[in-house]
Amino acid sequence: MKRSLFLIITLSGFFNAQSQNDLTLSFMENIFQSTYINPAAIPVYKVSIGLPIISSVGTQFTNTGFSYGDIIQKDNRYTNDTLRGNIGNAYKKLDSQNYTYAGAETDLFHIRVKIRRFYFSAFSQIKFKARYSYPLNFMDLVVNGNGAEQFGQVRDFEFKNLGLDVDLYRTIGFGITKEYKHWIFGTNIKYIGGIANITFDPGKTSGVKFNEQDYFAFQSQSDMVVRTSGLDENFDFNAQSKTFQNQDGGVNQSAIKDYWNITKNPGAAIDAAVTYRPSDKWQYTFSIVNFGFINWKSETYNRKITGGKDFKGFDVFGYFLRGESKPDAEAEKEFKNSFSYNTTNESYRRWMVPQLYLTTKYNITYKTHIGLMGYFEYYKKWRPAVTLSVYHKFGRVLNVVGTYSVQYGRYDNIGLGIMAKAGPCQFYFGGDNLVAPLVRMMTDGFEIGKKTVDPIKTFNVRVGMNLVFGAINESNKQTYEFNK
Amino acid sequence: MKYIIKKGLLLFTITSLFFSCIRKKDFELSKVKWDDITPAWGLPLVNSTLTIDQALNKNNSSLIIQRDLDGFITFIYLDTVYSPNGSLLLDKFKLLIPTIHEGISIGTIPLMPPPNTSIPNLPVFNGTFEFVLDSVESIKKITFKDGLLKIQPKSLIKHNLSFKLTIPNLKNAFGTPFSTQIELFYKKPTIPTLSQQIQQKLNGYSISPNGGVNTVGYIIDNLKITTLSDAGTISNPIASSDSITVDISFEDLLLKSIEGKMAPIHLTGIPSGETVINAFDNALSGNISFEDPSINFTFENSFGLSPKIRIDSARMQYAYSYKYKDLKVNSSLMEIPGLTTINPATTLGMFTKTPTIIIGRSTSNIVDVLQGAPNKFVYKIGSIGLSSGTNDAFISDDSQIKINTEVKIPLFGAVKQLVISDTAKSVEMINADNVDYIEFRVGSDNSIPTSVQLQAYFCDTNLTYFDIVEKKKKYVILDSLVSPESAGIVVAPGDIEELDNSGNIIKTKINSFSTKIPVSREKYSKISTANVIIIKGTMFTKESENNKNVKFFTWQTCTFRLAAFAKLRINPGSPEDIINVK
Repeated sequence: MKRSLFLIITLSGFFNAQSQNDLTLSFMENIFQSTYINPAAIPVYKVSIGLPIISSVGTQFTNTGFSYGDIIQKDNRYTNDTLRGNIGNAYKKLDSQNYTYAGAETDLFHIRVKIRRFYFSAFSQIKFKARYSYPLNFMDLVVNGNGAEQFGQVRDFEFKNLGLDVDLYRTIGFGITKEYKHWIFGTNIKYIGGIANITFDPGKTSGVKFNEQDYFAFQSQSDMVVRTSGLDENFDFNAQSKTFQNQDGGVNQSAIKDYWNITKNPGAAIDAAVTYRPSDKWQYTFSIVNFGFINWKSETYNRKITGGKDFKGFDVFGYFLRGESKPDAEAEKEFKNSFSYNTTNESYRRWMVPQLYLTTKYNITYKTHIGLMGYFEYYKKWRPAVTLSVYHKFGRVLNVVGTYSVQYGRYDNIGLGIMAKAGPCQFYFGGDNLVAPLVRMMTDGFEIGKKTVDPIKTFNVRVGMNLVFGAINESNKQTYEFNK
Repeated sequence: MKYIIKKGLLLFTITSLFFSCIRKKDFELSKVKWDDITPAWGLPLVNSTLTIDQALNKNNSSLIIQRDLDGFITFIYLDTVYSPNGSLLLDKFKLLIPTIHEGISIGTIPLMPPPNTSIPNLPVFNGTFEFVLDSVESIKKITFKDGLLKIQPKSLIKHNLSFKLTIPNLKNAFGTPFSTQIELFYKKPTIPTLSQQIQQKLNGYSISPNGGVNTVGYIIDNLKITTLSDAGTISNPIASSDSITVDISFEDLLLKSIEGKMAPIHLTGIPSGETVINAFDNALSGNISFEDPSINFTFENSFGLSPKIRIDSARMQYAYSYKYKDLKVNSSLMEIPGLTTINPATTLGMFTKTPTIIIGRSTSNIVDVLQGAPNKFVYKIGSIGLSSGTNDAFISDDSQIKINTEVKIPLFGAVKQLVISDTAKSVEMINADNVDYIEFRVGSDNSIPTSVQLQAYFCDTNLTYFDIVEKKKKYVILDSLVSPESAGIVVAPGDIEELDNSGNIIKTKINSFSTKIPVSREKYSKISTANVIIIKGTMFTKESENNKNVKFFTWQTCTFRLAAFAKLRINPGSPEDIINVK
């Protein structure tokens, strides 16, 4: 059990990842899905239709702390096929505050039409997101323990920066974009139907402080709460891997109650963007997405642990010398009773994690433009990214965008987006750091092996096919009429 | 050129995707050989601040902890033994009083016809009846706790009559003699005439014999006769043979007390005195001495007799060994074994206290018997002889003898060795494979003038042997915390601040102490299977080697801290993973 727990804590650092940010997608305005990032994006087709699943499937894994290669290594001490789990090395790579995310999403449908200078759209998605935030000192407690190297050191382990949010929800949205001479305004208004949620809120005061000089006496405090909604009452966190997650990593629906009820956990969110085009060359866009919340109401269980206890050791010799018996049990009981454990069923609101995009584009020709984008997200701390992009249209079929991003302390994120149209079918494929893994894969015998994924801290990919009809100024309406 | 680049790029991408596949062996996490992680964990185990005052703060009905103004401590263990009370003795006295049947003949009396009814005042009639009280030489007074006096008057005189019956020696609690008015109403068909039976409960009544003779008198006076007419004619003149009779009986008598001169009486069946001394609970052995201990006997007596108490034996018992040592006392007031004479009660119903008899080191071997850290003081009373001698005495049903003992132990002495022990059961040790190193960190701030040597023994409930000497099953010791087994961690005593002229420590100050006790991996491997830990503490005063004493005060404290610091070795993988290098 201890091993399992440790493994979960450690490996969750790798297998979870950051909120899907799709830095490259924001430069792929040709496809409808870019409006999820930038509602003010102007399409090049009058009509776009998305079919369930095939129009978009996206996933992202991010770990800001360490990469796969930091923890899983080849070890010369064994045969070449032996993998070594080097937790110590992974621990060294951690930042003071680390963040992991795993997410997947797919389109259920979408339709967008152009009417005069308006673009109207309706869409629906299903999304799964899991976020886990852990401070370095928490992992320090796991990996190194509380035994300080220096005598007399006070070690304060605050849990307030721990966090876990797992969401599964559907969205139904309506979008409108209006284009003016110098301005473009766009918004998506989304109804959100929550399906299931797990939230770990460490509270503001939870933590433990060890004082080595005082013989490791510690002060512990808890106002933690673990909330679940949409899950069976008997859902067991300890048995999570058995009952909640199936072999494919998907959600085992037996743990989820009332899956198809879209009104049981209502929520709403808004995406908004504005683009300013002062000249033919320059374009500035500000976009905020996912500003909203979900009211979790169904099958809600709020498991709270509150209280605190300062513990310096058992008063055994006091009992002992006084000729009393069973002091340990009494002291343990007293320690446990210092915390109260209760479960309530009140509903709760969880705000989504909004994302900000600030984009500047410069049109070199009507087929080629470059861009610079700043990305911001706040979950326990600000997590920015910077992306440079180059876009080029190759003939009438192929559009390619290349990106270079600096994110999570990694400087080798070279992204790629490819959009190809064959008849009404618009194929696309994109990701924020596809190129480097692709190169590594090719140099490693065209196999996705350790070398391919070793340095990766974040990886996302989105692929799909839309049906598009009616080009808008096809010859020169790539992003903006250049020098018309 | 553009066309070539475009098509080439597309071909490259599709080809790459087509030919790419996952090299599964690089991602088989279930086969990963994980490095051990070696967290170092420190946990507080013990933190006891033991103020002597706080530790001893357990006053109860059997223990008084006396604190002098300067905080000097004296243990006073209390016990009281009660003799059987007087009701047992009174039950043995048999009070025999026969039913009195006294007939009074008043002779021939001429009577005038109505309305000239003659109502003569007739003479007073005196009588006596006897009672017998066993085993009493000369009784002066008997007081009843319960009983019933029954009086049944009868008359053969064919007229109404009335009289007063008085028993002067039968008095109520206020000293008023018993007296009752009797009326007899003649009814022609009924001869003799009966009145309703008179009953008197005797609770609180007492009788005093006449002049030391076991007789009680009674008086009938105010005897009046009311003549009756029959059709205008006086009928049935009183004949000399006509009489009145009074039947007096006592039933269900219980005595409250008797007073007078009594033959010697022996009280037996007296319970043993037992004073529990819990200061040395958990002691395995002890070698201690005290400067001025004492046992105080205080006798209280509510018998109006002078008792002689025979204490056959008095001993200190030691729980750890089931052994004992006899207390020998030889003073002018008390001997053990021997007789002790105590004062008689002077007032019925009240205790008289004999001045406290102090058994100290000059009149007894108390210092010697306390040396073994006793847990119980027991004394056995063979009998109590009660005698009145030539004086008047009394026994009441609640008369009793109380024997109060105070075992006084002023904490001024020397501890050569006091071994205490306790056992922690159901202990779970961390698997030895997961432990590289353990050290225990021990610290104390001590102003108590006692060193404590602590040792822990690790045992397994599955490994036991039978000790033929102590006749009990014992655990095999796998290993001790500190080697050798006879050693231990020594918590230093409080530093000396002041000595008296004899070199005794009469004041201490805090002495801080800390140490680390490393436990190697090899040693830990030996003890990791333990599920029982026996903790043994040996207390001693260093000055005891020189026969010097130390004083214990309420303000003296000892803060003891114990923490475990362990470098663990944990592998997050499957059990077959090998242990990697550090």
